[in-house]
Amino acid sequence: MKKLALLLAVCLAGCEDREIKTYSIAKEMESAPQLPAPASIGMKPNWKTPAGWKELPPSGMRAASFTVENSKVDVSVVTFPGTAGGLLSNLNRWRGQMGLPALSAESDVVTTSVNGQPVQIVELTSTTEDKAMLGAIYLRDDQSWFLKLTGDKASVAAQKASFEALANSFEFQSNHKSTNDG
Amino acid sequence: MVRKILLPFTSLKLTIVCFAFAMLLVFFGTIEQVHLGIYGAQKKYFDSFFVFWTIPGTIRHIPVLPGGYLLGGVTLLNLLAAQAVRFKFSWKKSGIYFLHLGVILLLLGQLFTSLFAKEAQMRLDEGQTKNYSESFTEKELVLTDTSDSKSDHVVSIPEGLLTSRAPITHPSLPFRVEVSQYFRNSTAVAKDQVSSPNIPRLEVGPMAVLVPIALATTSEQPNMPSAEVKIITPEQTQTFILSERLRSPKTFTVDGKTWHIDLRARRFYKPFSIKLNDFTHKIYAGTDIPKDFSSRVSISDPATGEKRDALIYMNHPLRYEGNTYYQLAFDNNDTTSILQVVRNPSWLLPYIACTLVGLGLLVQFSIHLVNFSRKRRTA
Repeated sequence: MKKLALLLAVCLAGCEDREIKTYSIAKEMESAPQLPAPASIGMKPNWKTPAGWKELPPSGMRAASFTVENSKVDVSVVTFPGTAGGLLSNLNRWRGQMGLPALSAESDVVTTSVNGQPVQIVELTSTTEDKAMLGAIYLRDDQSWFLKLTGDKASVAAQKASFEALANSFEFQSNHKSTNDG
Repeated sequence: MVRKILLPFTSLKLTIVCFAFAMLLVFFGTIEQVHLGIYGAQKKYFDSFFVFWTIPGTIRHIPVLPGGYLLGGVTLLNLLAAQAVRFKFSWKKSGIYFLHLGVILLLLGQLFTSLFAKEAQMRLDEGQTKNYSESFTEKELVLTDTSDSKSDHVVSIPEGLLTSRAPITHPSLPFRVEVSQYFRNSTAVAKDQVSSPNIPRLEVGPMAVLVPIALATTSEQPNMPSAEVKIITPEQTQTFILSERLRSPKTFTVDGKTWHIDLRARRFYKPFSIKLNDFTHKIYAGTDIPKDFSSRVSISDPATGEKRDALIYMNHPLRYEGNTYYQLAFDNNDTTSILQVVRNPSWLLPYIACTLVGLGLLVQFSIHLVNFSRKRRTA
């Protein structure tokens, strides 16, 4: 009995695991379901898309992107597990992209609050080129979220109020829950 | 001769030893769920012949407990041998035969369940319709020919073939597939975060790389594989970096046909679809303590024309076409419901077994009761 069970188990596992399967599916079923935002890489926060902005679905590293009507700014939401190298190194990476000198201590970073949770909102303007950046960094449930807007100085300045409204609307939910816990 | 071989297995002491080990197994198997998760504990303690323990500080494994298969097998043999050797039918003991038959069925039912039952999940957002469930643990590389206007033709390559790194060919594929890197579980990190140049990695953007990490132990945070896959034709080689974590399906063209390539949890398509109309999560007033979870779904089966609604909640699953849908979890601020889908051809066996055991006990106690009252009357 034991041997038979083992034999059966090995055969079933073995056959299943190495067999290529082919099947056909109806077209609309496959394309219809909207993929949820990469929930597996941390619970997607809720936010309010500002007027005149359009949210685009996740792609590549981006949990979301936005396009802004009649504007050339690029807006992205990117997430990484953990602190993604730490607040200071991420800010200095951004500063580097704008040609600004690195900060030496985390105390130089201004922390504000969104929905009762800490957030770092920064405005970086290049001193050498016509480019600027608005950024917000959130660390929640061991997951870092980066909201970033880049573009030429005039476009960035024009979208500043909308960006701040978006950054202040970020609301994080508690983690995935199981109904089997209780 | 047969009797002689079976005799040692008829021992009642063996039964007691088996029961004692079974109690230990259930106790430790339950405790271990904290560290291994339900799936891991199930595999280690119950779907095994021995439970191994690693001596701390070494890589030596020693068996410390008999596993579920061994205990179940021995108990079954013990019961069958005892029945075969000692079987003498008498009305006085008829209840015991029912009872033993019930226990034998229960053990066989568990064996069949662990061999043939399939578990998967169905994740539905409110308003979403799906005609497939997804495996908790198995992954697949899918290549979909989208050139047909009516249907998509899917070629699913199981994870077992991806890890072996051998070139993959199939009559349905007009190209060769080579997996040059495969991480069974992976995460995305910033490039400058990778501590050693020796760690294998896959580039996914100007600042991010995918790196392998330890295999998952809980079903709530499953493995997230990543791979570098080459699509090779005599004319050209196209390379794709795929990651379940980043949900990054790609498209390419071979001989004028457009193909999709994706690495994902293995899907099981059904001939019917389920739509989540509403998920409800009630809590006790003034607390966070959950009171009730329920999913209102619609089933629609184009083959039979059947269309009906069902409510799935705790201990009240939906059974349809051999699949059972249980309320498992929820997500996204109560707008996503996760159903567990179980396909178990032997799901009826435990019910029959328990009925037999109950019947056996009733018969046996009734016989005793009647005899007892008869004796009292004559005394």
